[in-house]
Amino acid sequence: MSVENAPVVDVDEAAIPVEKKMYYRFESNDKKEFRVSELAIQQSETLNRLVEAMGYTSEDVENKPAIAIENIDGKTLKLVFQWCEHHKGEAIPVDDGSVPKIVEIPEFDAKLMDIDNGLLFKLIWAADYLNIVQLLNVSCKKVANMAQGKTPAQLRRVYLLPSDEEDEAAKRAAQEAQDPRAREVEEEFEERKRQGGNSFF
Amino acid sequence: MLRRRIQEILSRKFPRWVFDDRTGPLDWSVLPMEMKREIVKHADIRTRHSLRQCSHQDKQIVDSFKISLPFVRIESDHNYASLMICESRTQILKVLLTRKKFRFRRKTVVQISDNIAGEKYEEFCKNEDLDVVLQSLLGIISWINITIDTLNLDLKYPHDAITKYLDIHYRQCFGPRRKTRVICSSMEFSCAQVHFLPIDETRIISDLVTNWQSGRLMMAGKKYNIVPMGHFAEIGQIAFWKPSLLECNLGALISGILWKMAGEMVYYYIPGLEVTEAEQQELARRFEAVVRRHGVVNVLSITDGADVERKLYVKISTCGVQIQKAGIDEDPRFPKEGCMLDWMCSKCDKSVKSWYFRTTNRIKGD
Repeated sequence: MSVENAPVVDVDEAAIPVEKKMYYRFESNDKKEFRVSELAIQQSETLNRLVEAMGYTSEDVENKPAIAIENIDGKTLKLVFQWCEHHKGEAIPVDDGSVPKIVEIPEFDAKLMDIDNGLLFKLIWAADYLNIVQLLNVSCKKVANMAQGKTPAQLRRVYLLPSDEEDEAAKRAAQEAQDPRAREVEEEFEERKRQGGNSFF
Repeated sequence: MLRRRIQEILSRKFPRWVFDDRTGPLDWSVLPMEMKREIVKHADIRTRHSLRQCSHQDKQIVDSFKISLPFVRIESDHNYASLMICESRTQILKVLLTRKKFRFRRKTVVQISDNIAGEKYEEFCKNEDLDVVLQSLLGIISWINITIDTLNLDLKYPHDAITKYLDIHYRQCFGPRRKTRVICSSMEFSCAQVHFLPIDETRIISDLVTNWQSGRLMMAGKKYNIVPMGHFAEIGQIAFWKPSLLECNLGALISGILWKMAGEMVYYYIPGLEVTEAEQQELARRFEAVVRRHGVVNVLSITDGADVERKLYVKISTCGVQIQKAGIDEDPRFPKEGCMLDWMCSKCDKSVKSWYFRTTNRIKGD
């Protein structure tokens, strides 16, 4: 099945499915609504538990407002639900703790993740947030593959990795911005140290 | 009310800023630690090694994992050494170091590839001598958080770096890595001065077969019970394997083996050879064999009129055929665990080490 044919439905764009399956309605933070089948929802542990806890009937799904997922935008959520629909009914892999994880990226997933890096990272966050184990695996594998065969210098460019010095400077700047009083206390302490006294003890 | 509850459940994991709109290239620094760890879990050994050199935090992330390498192979000769790390059948790192002289200066040429044949490599030159580069290379598999399941050695020359590495990690009695299975691929390890090294198995496979392109491969083997002089540590079974192409049917092969019953080869493995019930009955009738069944294996016991001391067991299963010469009173041997075709069976043995030996010896099935 191609990415374009994946059965995620934008309510305002496509018709409501005729099958008598249960379709849940979800709303992204930019107010886009999606209908997702019950079987596809099972790929997401978070959403599955959520809909189970809510105990919706098919009437409730139609009458009550869509379930809002306020942390994820429509673009990312569409990718997530496309993935879930394509992989619905598949077994959820169990993490055996082995490193490195051996994951093959299927063709559909590779096409689905042929997106810009910003969106890819959002997809990873969403997969982790919604607890979709296999989507998290393939998306992390994709990011890991981007670094394959790179030297440390090249990695810094690919991932915008901060060096230790930059990390320290950023931490210091953040601390200073957060608490100006702490800086004053530190300066005072440094001054006393320079004078030779140790008034704290 | 319900909406608030849903939000409560969903916002437990990450702060909202994580999902803020962000454009531009990947930014590692904004990723939560858990996510970084998740990505590192999927990275190969080379990427992890590069990443741990980027910053202290990345080093901590990489070092926080216990990494198990299924198969590592070290080769050495006078002017070259190589290290191959197989994390899976597809994640392979092979580094080949060659000593070269450029204008009276010794340099080392490094070739890095991602396949067992060492093809499509990237090459660069280092100003240090081979031993220095080799020592730093072995550092990759020397971290405390790395364990190796199978270490395959093909040592023909005593490079100090390799001897030191093996001495520290695998010396008899107190080596911390004794869970590792050490398999040698040649008998030259005694020249490599590793007399302290306990060896679980020595698997010598002759590479004299020239026509690999056609026919079914047969492995003829003999197991030796010898210890090389001066080797102080434990030494396991030594087996010599001679691959050849089976260009006849099973009946003709059995006839050939019966004809040379006194020959030195004791075992004949033909992985993947399917023998139907009708063919088995035909063989039993032709060689006047006694047929017995051991689990999933049919055993044809054939005695030759000319040789009263030995007989032939032909073991047939869905995995293939094994032929064994045995004493007249000897019972057919079956392994307690696993398949009778051992590492040659691609159906039963899915391990990376067996896959490596099968692939390098052109045994079909993978």
